[in-house]
Amino acid sequence: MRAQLDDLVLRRRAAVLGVCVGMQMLARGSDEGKRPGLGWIDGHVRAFRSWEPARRLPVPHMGWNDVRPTSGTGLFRELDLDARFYFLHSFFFECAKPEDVRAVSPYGADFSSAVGHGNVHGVQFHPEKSHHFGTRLLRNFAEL
Amino acid sequence: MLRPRITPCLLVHNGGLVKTVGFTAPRYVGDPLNAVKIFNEKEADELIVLDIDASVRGTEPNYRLIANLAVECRMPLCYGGGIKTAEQAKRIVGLGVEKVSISSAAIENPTVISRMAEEVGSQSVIVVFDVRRSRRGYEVWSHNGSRQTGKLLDEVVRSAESLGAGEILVNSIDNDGQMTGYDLALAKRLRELTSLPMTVLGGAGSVDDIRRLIETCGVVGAAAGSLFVFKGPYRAVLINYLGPALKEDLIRRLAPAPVEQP
Repeated sequence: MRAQLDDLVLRRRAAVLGVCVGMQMLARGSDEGKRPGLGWIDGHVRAFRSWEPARRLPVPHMGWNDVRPTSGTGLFRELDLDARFYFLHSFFFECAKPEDVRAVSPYGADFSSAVGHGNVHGVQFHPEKSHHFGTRLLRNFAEL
Repeated sequence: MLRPRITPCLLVHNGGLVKTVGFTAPRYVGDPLNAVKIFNEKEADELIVLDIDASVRGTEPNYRLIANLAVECRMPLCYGGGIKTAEQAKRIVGLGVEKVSISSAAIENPTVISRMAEEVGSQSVIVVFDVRRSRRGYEVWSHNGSRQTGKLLDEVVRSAESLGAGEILVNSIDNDGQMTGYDLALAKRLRELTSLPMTVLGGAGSVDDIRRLIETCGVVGAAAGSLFVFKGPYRAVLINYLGPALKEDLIRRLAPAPVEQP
């Protein structure tokens, strides 16, 4: 199955959107487990508990938080002002390449709440549970 | 900024939605799926649905109802009622529910919290404590307030956190259905006891009650039943929620001053 997925995403460049732990699976690896991730986006998944800015904040990071995209195009078309999404997670994606960060959200400090590289996209929040903001994002993904 | 959550809490009894007072006298207020559709339109922050029959009757969670709710719900959903095992929790999360809540099972057999956290992740395990005030402090009751557990809130909250709970919800039996305000001393106590996200339920009768809770606890879940299913002094049944302008106003008052961007 891994070979088929790699073929679909890396060679045939099918658009893929990872949601929540689905975004975390795009990384090379995670503090949460020992086995490697898909490695489609260069980065590692860390625990908020081990990250100084969020060390004293409640974990999981849970609820509606601001999402500030780096650009109001692509996945975030018409979502560059005042967008809010629902989060529920204890781990976050640390990108190796700054250009792969597509949006940030504040929790102690800014963390990557959306990542992207070519046809591969990931969002830490739940668009399917984020009312009209989420509907917009999913429509944007469908129209990429 | 992470926002406080304002969360309708719906009770399921004999397949319909009800609202109780002091955990008794359930009054029919409507159909669960219809209520979810209304809260979708109102863009509620999240939704809690508790089946108040399952644990008392010792029945399995109603998976068909849960699946229907999850499909309909465009906001995060927390489901509770009759969940005793990690396998049941996994099945419910698999139906598209973000959070499962346990109460009786967590008190009788606290290690189930760890097994559930391993199975579905801590972030999805909500532990609910129903409490009554007494001279000893806040005493925890189970099975819809019908059984005294002999335990105090302080000990069960610490134990639930150390076993891997992702959120604590505390429900005041004394204030249930009263619509006279949250038990703020209870909310404050819970904030001191745990560093987990927390939600308070029981007593909200107005937007001011929600404001006072947020002022007391900061980023918190403010859950309410009566407030969102009744309207007016005669408690006519009308599913309702805060309008976006009112909610924004409430949140903005509490927001810290924006940090200037370089």
